[in-house]
Amino acid sequence: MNIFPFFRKNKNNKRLPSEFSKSEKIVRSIFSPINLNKAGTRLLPNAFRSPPGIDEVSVNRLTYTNADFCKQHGKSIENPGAKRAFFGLALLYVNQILSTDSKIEYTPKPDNIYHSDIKIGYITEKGQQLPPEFQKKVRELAEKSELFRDNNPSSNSWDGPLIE
Amino acid sequence: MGKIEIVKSDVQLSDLENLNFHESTNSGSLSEIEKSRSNPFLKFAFSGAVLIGSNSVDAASVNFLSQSIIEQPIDVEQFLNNYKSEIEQTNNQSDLAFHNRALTKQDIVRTILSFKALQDNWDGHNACPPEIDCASNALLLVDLLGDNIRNIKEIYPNPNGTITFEWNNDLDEVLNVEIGIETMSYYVEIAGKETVYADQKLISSEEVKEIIEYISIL
Repeated sequence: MNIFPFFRKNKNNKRLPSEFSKSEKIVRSIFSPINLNKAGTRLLPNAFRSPPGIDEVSVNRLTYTNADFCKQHGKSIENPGAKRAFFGLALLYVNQILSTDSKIEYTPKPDNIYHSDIKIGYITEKGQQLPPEFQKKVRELAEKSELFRDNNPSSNSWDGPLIE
Repeated sequence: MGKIEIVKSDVQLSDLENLNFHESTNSGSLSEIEKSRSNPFLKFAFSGAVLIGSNSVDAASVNFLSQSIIEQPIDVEQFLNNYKSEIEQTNNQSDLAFHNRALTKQDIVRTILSFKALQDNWDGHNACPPEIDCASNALLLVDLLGDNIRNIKEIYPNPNGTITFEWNNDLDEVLNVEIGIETMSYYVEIAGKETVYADQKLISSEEVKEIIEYISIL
């Protein structure tokens, strides 16, 4: 019997603590123009909305990584030809998320151990509007977040202010 | 669905400079074409004589690939001149100044139509594009709101295929209306008042009257 696999450290199995501290920094990739108001200065609440059928707003745990990684993750899902060019990162502290009566859950992916989901507590179906109480909750998330713009979206390293 | 008309008097010349212009003429009868299709976008477009489309939303992207429709280029300069004279005749200076700051009805209609160009996964997180019924309901709301649409601050699609209209002011007061495939829901936050929540409301003139009252407060 080969017992070595039991002792081999697998990098892919690395996990972060599943508990969040209230001061932990959480970021969401923001795309232009779809997540910005018409002046391009304010975050639209649709930046913190889930797709139909699930209650999951994908975010990264910035406290455990860095802005370069978060930017590269954002750029990996951008599509400038379809109104989805990487613009920057929206920062929320965990206590701000909790203050809107939303939750955050650690949901690592095989290629992203920093991945987590914000959950507002409601799942919408395709074409069904959110109940107004939850519309307000999503708007609060957007308002509490701070938008950080990247000055050079084409590069792979973060070129914006310190995110804190 | 109520008939919706493009209000030409709300257009600004700066909005028109970079647009493509198409004049659509149909070779069959209008009623036959409408009968053969139930696409509200199509019905909407037939209510006007000229379709104005941006680069991202032209006749093709709004499902106008009908054999019955032939696109012909028109004289853009002549078109702009006609528009300019119409604007001068129908708007006074204060109206023009106002429209420099606010979205016009035509801006809003164009924005709603532009959502049709969104593809699956438009937000990078598996969003679906707005449903046709949501878009037609949004156009119906625009129609029912009449001139009150001028004060709208934002209009945007949501990842589950709905469309949101937002009014707000410097006091952080807000009216947020989300349009679905059958009904709408909204909330109003006004300083010193309890937040008003309204869920699953029909998009009717009666319900919209209430929304207009909130808009007038904002």
